Amino acid sequence: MPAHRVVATSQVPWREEPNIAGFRSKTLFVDSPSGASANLYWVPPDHGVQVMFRRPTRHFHRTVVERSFALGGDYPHWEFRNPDDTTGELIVFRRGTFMDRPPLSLHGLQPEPRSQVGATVLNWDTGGGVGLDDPRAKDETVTVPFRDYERYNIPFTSPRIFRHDEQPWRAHPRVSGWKAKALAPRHGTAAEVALVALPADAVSKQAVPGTHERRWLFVVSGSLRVAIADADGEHRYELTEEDFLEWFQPAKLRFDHGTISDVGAVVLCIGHQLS
Amino acid sequence: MEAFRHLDTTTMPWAPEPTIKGMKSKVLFRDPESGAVTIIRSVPPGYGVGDQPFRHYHTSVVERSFYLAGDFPHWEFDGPEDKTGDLIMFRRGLFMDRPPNTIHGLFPHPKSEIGGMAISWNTGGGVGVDDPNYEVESIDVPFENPGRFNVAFTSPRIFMHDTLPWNPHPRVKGWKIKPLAPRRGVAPEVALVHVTADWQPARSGAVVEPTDERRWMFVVSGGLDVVVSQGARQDAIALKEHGYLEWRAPAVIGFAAGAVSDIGATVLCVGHVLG
Repeated sequence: MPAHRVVATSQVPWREEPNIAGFRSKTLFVDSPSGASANLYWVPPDHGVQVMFRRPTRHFHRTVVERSFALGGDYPHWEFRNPDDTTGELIVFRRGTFMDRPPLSLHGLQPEPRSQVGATVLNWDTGGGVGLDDPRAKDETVTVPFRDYERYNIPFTSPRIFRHDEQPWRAHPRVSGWKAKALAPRHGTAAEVALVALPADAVSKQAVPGTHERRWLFVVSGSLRVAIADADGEHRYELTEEDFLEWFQPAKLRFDHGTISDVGAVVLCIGHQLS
Repeated sequence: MEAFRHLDTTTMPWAPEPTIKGMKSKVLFRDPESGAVTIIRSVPPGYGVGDQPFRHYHTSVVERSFYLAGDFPHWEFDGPEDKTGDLIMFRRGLFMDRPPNTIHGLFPHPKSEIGGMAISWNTGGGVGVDDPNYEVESIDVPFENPGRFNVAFTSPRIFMHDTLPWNPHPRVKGWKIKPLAPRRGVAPEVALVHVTADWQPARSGAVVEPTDERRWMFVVSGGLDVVVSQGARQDAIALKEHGYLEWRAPAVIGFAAGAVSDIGATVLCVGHVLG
């Protein structure tokens, strides 16, 4: 496996998502054997009609942590406190909505309302079997009917779902002038998540060493210049909106080539805070 | 008419676009006299023209657009004899300045994969094929036997804004600017302005003086706090990403004392350069 990888996701073609009927996707990474992955999902307008035959559906995952950051559009989704809660709470994912879903949280779709214009969502998880059409779903995902459901001896959990702009920016813990917004802490093998805002003309001598675990970033807005130093030498990149970068040890992320960003950047950071 | 209007466009409902069947829209502004609109349009995936290509031009209206998401294949033609045209894929960050008398249209393939979304504005009605004034303003150009047009056909300027450099703002130190289009008739000049993170005004008060012409801005990324003043009345407005603000005399735009943007903002400015 290369020690780092850049994906200009805007240049990657969409494909039919094999694990979720009706979705399209761009895969950023898939781990073997855990099945953990990160994908850009595209939800079509009116999603649900062809998939659910206008019936509601809901399920929970036994072990996998799911996280997502919505990039655009609208995607109505429902959260259920437990099987007895058959109404659920409607949450419309829009640009800037972040979701931290632990295992055992019950979620699904009601027939109405449906997505008006579709949605694009960056989604990542700690294992396979969360998509209903994934062959591993039979072990990982439990569909819970709306009536005549069995009694589950399970402590159902709740996700944290919020618009990130409802949370204040705080001073970055290590780089003066930068800002950060912690979105989720580490949860098992799910690394911590933060948004980091770099100001225009930012500079930094910080380096972010790779670890055995994947560290990655996704440019939400703006652009940034980075360098990756690894066994093959130094590689420089101009990352722009919707670009993805992952790196592992021995690769090291560096910024020491002058100005990092002309007009700043907001970067989704997984397993690090760009420092 | 109110002297200013603020819209959080992300939470506005979508409605069918009355002048282009199949699209959805959020109308931000409509001038009942001229038919000019400022509008966010959503193009559905697979949007197209059936089996036959289609093209037309507008005789007097200037159209401008800034793409926010998705993909929308569009074709530009040098003149009626140009039957193949140039395919241009509209994507996030693409700006279009279309003067009158430019021939543009659609071929059956390729179609939009995931749909597209743009903020668009124009100087009059009759540009949408289902607009009641379409036949007054727009002329279809057949591909076979197009006939003779006594028209000086023109070309639009269509480019990804990130292919242009940022320049220092002419009036505010530290800010940056990227002029996108000059004034053309009643279509005011267009620019992207970047307000730097934690920027503070030297003094509170107006930065954009009043005019009788509508001026507006749309936050492409980041957030920006402004103050709209009308005499003794002052309204503090926190513009979020995809927030829209329009104003005209007697309203003036300014800033309160203190930092006006946590992480900076990139703002589409029409009729002004903010500072």
